[in-house]
Amino acid sequence: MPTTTPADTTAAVLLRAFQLTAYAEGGLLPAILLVAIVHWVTGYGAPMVAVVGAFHGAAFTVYVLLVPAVARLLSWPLHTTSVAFSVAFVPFAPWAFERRIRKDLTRPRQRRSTAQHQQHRTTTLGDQMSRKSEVVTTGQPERS
Amino acid sequence: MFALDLHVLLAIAATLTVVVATLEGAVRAIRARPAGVAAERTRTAVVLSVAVTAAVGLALLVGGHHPKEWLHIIYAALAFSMVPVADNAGTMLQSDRGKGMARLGGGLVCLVVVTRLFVTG
Repeated sequence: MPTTTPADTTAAVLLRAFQLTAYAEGGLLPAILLVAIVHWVTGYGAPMVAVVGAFHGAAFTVYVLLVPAVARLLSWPLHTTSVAFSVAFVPFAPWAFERRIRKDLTRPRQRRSTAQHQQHRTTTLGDQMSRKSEVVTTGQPERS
Repeated sequence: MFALDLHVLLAIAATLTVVVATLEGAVRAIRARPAGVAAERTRTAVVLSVAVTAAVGLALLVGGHHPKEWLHIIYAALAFSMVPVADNAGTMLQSDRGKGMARLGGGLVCLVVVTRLFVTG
């Protein structure tokens, strides 16, 4: 029977929070733009701008704070982390990013286990070392 | 006064480069074409034109002029980074159409920001 550790629970909560914030941020950015444009053009809707603006500000802040935490949790490379920050400035883009991350997480893992990876690395390094030593001793690699 | 006129002229030129960059994204989004030389050149043009405008704006600021609203400076930072940030956001998408859409979205937001720059400057 699988057991759930506190670390798993924290990770699940963090990912769920990131998912919800990405949904909110992706929808609230175009919403604030729309409401603000209507306000600038017509002069009406100032309270709406204040309300949507406050929600967008909160969602943006939480999203920006969550990105480094999720990046650390999922060991994102720098490029993915920079994309995660960038999508916060493009309408609807956080939705696409969240979908991509979810797809990556739910895809069956094809990576080797740590032990298999270590064994593969040792074997590859060993092969390379022996090839190098052949080159040093005979002047050319042995043909098989 | 010369610096102020120059700032406005450069801002108009920067707006035109943002329009061109946005249209380039729209064309890519519609035709599902990959980003080419035009994408790179329009991005460089936007960054350079906004940077030069901001430099003259900073000179104005140092010289004693200041914008009507201080939000102008935050909008300037946003306008400077919006197109490169949108292109960076588009790199996560597999499809060329998606990448074009990211540029189009970023460009439209940038145009809204530029409009606010004219109002707050």
